[in-house]
Amino acid sequence: MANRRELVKRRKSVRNIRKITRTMQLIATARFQHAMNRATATKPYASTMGKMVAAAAKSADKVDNPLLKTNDTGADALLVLTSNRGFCGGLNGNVLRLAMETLADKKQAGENVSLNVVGKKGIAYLRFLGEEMAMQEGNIDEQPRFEQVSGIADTMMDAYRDGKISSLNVCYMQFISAGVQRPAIMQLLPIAGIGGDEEGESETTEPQPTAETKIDFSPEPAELLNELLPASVRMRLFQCFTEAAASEQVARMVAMKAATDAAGDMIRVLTQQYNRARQTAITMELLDIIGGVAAIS
Amino acid sequence: MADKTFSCTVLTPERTVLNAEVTSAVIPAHDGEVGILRGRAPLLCRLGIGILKLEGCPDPKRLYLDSGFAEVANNKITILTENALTPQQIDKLEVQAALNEAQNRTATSQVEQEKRQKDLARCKKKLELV
Repeated sequence: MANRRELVKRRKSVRNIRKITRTMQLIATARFQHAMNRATATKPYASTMGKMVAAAAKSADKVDNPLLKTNDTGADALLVLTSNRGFCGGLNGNVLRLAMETLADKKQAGENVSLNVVGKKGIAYLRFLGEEMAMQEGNIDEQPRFEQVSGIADTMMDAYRDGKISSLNVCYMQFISAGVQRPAIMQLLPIAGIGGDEEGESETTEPQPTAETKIDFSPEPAELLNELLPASVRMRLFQCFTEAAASEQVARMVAMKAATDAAGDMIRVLTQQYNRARQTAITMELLDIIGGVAAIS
Repeated sequence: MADKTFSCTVLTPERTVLNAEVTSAVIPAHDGEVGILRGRAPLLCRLGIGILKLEGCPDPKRLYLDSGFAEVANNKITILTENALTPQQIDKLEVQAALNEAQNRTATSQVEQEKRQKDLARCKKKLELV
């Protein structure tokens, strides 16, 4: 008897959980659409920026920007982008694993690493590990705004110019398509190469810009480049953020779908068990009655 | 009559603000306004704080731009800016307050001075648009 009631209770609670996970899945789907639109909306800006940098770099006689030169002094900065909320499957785990591997490699090589973390989940994890964090930012929500990101980029670039950091790598969940996301590390500083041939899939490959036409520059190409480069760094960091945000929603969508399915399976099993228990109980009762009748007659 | 229009695109990192066919554009370059008509030679310039004025297109014909870059090539003008606002998006009272604040601020160091000047310019341009 007690068993039966317990089964009913469990089935009820699993049903409730399924309701919740299904709702979360639907929400994640809606947010994912939004996040993906945001991620793709950055593309035209980024590709135009790439073209401009290439054009200016081609015409500049000498490019002399601190952001291009390698910096010997200071620590290697690693910027890890994680989510603020859980329930997104292996997303944070994968990003953090890659980050920790990189960290371990660099430490083994005897390099100084300054760890910068965005997202509450990453902060909590690294605090648990007792790692020292140079920067913690837990206030960027699911729709990173450009002002927030450019603030971080500016701080980093200032630190780079001052020789406080010698490189900046971003560890984040790269959004390749709705089906594929990969934890990746992207080098942001020093700027790897100008001229449109920047490594990394995030950059759209553009055909050679504006043939051999003469372009009017205002101000001079070199000076223009000094403005363009920081802007492009800001942009690339922003792209990382939007991609990470889109990946987070996909991950949540997938995780919640799996949870909903698993709950459905569980309900089926529990229902079966419950029916069996009920049937057994009925049979027992019948047997009791029949036995009683047989004893009287 | 020959076609006099050319396309104009305004992009911010977050979205495409505007994509229209225009007959003329005046862009706020870092050293003054630059007028652009169809057939303009390729140009790449830095923008200052100012107002983008367009002709021959549906609204918005005016946009507030807060620095950025503009590229003209093949009868296409592309403007990259980190902040673009239509007149509707500007809150007059808020800007007025920011202007007052900037005017009353005491700037002692060089950096502060520059920041104050910039804030003032921003507010003034915004008010001009509203």
